[in-house]
Amino acid sequence: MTPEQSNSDYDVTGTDTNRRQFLKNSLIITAGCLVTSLPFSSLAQNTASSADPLRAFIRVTQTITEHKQVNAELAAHFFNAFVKKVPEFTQQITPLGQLIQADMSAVTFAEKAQAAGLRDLLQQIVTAWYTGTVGNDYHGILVSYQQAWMYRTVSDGLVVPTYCGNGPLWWTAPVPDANSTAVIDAL
Amino acid sequence: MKKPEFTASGDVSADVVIVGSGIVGGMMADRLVAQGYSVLVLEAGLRITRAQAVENWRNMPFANRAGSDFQGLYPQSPLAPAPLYFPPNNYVNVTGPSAGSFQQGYLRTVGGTTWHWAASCWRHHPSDFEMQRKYQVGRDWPISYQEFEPWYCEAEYEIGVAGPNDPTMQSPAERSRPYPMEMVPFGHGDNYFASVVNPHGYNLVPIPQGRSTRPWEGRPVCCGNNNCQPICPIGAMYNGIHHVERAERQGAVVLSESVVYKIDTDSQNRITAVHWLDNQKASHKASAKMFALACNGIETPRLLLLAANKDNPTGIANSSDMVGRNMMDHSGFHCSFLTEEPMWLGRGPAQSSCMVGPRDGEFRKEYSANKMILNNISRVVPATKQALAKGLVGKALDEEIRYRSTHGVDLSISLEPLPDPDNRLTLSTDRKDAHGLACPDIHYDVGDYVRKGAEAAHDQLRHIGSLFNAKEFNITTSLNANNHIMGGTIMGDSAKNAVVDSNCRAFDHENLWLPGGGAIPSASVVNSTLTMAALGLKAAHDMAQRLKGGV
Repeated sequence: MTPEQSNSDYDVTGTDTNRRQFLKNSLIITAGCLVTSLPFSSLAQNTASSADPLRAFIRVTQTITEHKQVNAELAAHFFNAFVKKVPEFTQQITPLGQLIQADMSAVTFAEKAQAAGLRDLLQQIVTAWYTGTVGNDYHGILVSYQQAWMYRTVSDGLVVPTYCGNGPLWWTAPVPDANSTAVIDAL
Repeated sequence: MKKPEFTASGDVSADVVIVGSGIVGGMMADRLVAQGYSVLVLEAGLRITRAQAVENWRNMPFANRAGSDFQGLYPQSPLAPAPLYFPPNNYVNVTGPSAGSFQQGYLRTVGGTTWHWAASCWRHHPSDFEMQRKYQVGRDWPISYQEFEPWYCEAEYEIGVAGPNDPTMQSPAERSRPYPMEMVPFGHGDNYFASVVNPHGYNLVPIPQGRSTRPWEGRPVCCGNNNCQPICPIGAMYNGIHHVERAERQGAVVLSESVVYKIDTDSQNRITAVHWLDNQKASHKASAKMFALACNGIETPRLLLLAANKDNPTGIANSSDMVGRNMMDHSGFHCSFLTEEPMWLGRGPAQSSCMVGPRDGEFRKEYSANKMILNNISRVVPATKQALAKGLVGKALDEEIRYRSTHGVDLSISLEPLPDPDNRLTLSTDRKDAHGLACPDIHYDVGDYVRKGAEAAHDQLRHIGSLFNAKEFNITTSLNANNHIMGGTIMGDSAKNAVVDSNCRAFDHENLWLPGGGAIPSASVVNSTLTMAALGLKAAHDMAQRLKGGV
């Protein structure tokens, strides 16, 4: 199995170092300062002349997931994978982004995308962020393993498999409150 | 340090030649080289590294990981294919009423399939050794559990098994030595599940596991990376490579990409040499006093059939016509549901506890026993698939994944097939590997004994589901393979209806041993690896006794 893209997974649940945290913070784009100066021009191989589609992609991501933080470097990797994998992606992402209005909820955005015939693309984008993969089958392009968003929903209680969470025999510790929304609210 | 001797042309002579470098071959090599014998191990597949496998797994697309593609991360030799399913390579062609139940996932690589096992180290139950005498079904072993028990102890100490020393948590409790390590401690999910089901007789107990709860033979303590299958990232779980490397440090020589295809016999039908093809397709010969084929439950019978010669026209060791017959595996299925209380499965190793209540009883006269593993593989991946399929977006999607991940349960149920000579491995007449050697064909039918056992297990599961007020309760309808391949070189007390004796020595060849899963004459419902390892150690002891002239 040959991965198309091997993105470095630099922050490990429960084991962040200061350096890792600094790197993460330096690359996060928040809803309040969207795409000002993206520090990843060398990563966006196919996007040097298409800043607007990439900008739209990040806006779409933030609106449909209601996540406050999006890793810009990772977004560029996902964007490039979509360009490779989905032929109509570059043409569709800008109109999809143009459906977004201020303070729009994810559900409303999904309804507007449905009406515009763009719901499938929107679902592909959501799926990619949560699974770390662009594409639903074994021909999919792996963009990130450790940073797939599915793992973030339970990061207070479960490790990302393959990573060592909290040392030998750690799992005998009490479990967190499954009803807590703290880790989700922080996304 | 006595080592195999090579000639300029690449032929070699040794005291012992072992074909196959998995847990059985590696452990035997270690035992024999430690006693001063020169040992050559021939492995068809590649030598890989742990780090390479971990990286490959992380880099696989989500669909492969969600589909449990435990084969695809391991690089394959083009000259010694293993079964692949993403997409299927049809290396092993299975036909018959239960073809879908025998799609095996074994590795051909230095260290063998324990690279991606779950490290469950169960013993057969004493009743499993006398199925015919006790329940009038199946076949009996030529030795009793009590006679074999010391070899279970040996294997547990070689692997480094962590198990419960409280007899009420052991299955079976008939033991002569304690486990070498304290049990892997239960997590929240195990404790909660046990508190619900054990008052009803299902007896959820700790799985005896080949992973470390204290530093063991260079292995670190398990850190609960929850990735035992398909690769333990830190080596806390035992893999066959541990014994391979230990044997090499003592002078054993392990040759990878060496595909054995031919076996020479003399006028007394003793084995004199095996021939192998290297990765340039050049042929070489290995001569020895003693030989063992420990290639895997499919590859060993395949090689015996491939190597038919003038004096053994139906295959090596096959005067009984039993080579390749009686193929068995623990056909299984899954049961999933959502609980009311959070389970938080996925904390700790991938398997931790198992229900063994329905493991033995008079009902085995009529239908299969079962065991039910409480899978501890993180539920995040299936939870995400289910949540995405609902079309959720925004925070609702995150919340649904969290709910399903923390409340989801997956039980893996194993059933016991009976040995049936019609479940048979033969050589393909039209499919060949890259060396031109015939690929294996297998006909398989799980049989009514298993089908009835599945129905009984369904009833038990519905009861268990009711104890949890389960939501989305589901039982899979098709039976899946479990990679516990048994029976193809079956053990017995006579050359008339068996291939090997109780030491796994071939009836037809006094210096050939066929240890491993193929020798196992009764499937039980538990994972076969500890039994395979114990058989390998017993065989190595028999070989050493004969090399010393003591037999």
